[in-house]
Amino acid sequence: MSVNYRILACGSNGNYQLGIGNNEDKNELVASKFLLQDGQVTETIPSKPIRISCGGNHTLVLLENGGVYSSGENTYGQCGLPACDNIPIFRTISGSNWINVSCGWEFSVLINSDGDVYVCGLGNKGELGLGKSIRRAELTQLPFSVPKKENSNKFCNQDLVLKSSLNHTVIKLPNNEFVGWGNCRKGQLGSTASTSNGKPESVFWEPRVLDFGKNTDDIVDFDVGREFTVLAKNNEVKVFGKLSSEVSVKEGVHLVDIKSMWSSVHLLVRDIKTDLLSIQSFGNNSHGQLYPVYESHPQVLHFTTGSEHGLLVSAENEVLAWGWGEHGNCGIQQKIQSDGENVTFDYLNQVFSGKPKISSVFGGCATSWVVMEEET
Amino acid sequence: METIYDEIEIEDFTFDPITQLFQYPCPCGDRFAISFDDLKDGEEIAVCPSCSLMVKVIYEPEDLDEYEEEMK
Repeated sequence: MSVNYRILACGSNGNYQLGIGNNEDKNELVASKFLLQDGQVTETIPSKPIRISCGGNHTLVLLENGGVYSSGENTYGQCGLPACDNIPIFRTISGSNWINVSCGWEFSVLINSDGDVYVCGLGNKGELGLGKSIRRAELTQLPFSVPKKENSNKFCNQDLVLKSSLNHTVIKLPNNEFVGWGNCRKGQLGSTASTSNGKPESVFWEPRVLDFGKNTDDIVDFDVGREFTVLAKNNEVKVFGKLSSEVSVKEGVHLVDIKSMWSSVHLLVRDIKTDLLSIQSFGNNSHGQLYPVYESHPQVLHFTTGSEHGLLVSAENEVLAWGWGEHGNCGIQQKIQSDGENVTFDYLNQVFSGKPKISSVFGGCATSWVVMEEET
Repeated sequence: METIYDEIEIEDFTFDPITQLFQYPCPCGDRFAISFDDLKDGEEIAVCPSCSLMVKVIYEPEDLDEYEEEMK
């Protein structure tokens, strides 16, 4: 018996970012297609997708076997492939030992098992980390590499955390230091120095060790939003940059996971008494982005966020969505809303239920992704 | 009146002196846009051509001077 995987997607698709072979938005899950090296097109992948990261209009899929596939807008080479208009179905990019990927607006960052960091795409605000003079690049290695660990010379996915948002990237290194680059104007990359004209720095053009204040050694998790970075340790959460609200963990719960939309922060917390998981949200609620308040919640297994919507997997093997769903990324609206236009989902809307087993969910810019696990 | 999605400072927009448009990424993947002339007229809402989201541009009238220079 072996396990195969399929990736189903819905939402915004104007640049083929769903990898389904056409550029129509979808409000129902459709299987992404993959072009294999032998020329065959398949919906079934033999290696587990461990991360799906999305830019404005492009998508990278990282497989457990170290391969990376990409689709969507590739005008600046942000898919990691030679620049062209759009990549209509997922194609593999060069390299076979990738351990992590992340996408920002029109750029991507990839790290391999040697700790080498590669970037591609467009970055007028330092997004590529290649210095002030290089604003556009096809897959190029950064002068910065992840420092080697003692006793081992290869890195794996669990060794480091890599996150990119609109214009900035942050990496948590195995030694617990943070390195980042890109737009820092709002403080999203921690403390900045003053430039010669007395103004604060607005861009880190090259990777540098970030200063998030004292006691960052025991940071357990972090995420990045449009103009902020949020750090979590034990039950403490700290936001660097611009967010419209304070974030705090309520008493009686234990923080399990932290995720950001572009303008809000969401905490997965475990109730100390009941042991049940629920979600607490902070920030912009213009389109139902804050987790809806119910008297009885579905039992949450895990969750993720897209640019302005959230997705959770329930104990019943359902995918439920909330937030801004104008492009079909929250599924077909089942509860009539006051705006009547399938824009705001201020309740949990079912995107998927039934079989097969859901392996994981990922969110992008008005896109939703469900990885299915099938035994054959 | 539709809900405004967010407020964005004019410095965070990209200005193209040829099209005279200010643009900023929209969470749908497209870009909010507003023209120099609209801002000059006191309009402050940038709209996205691909969805219903709108942002309010935060600026002072004198902020426009440096962009007017770029257009010359």
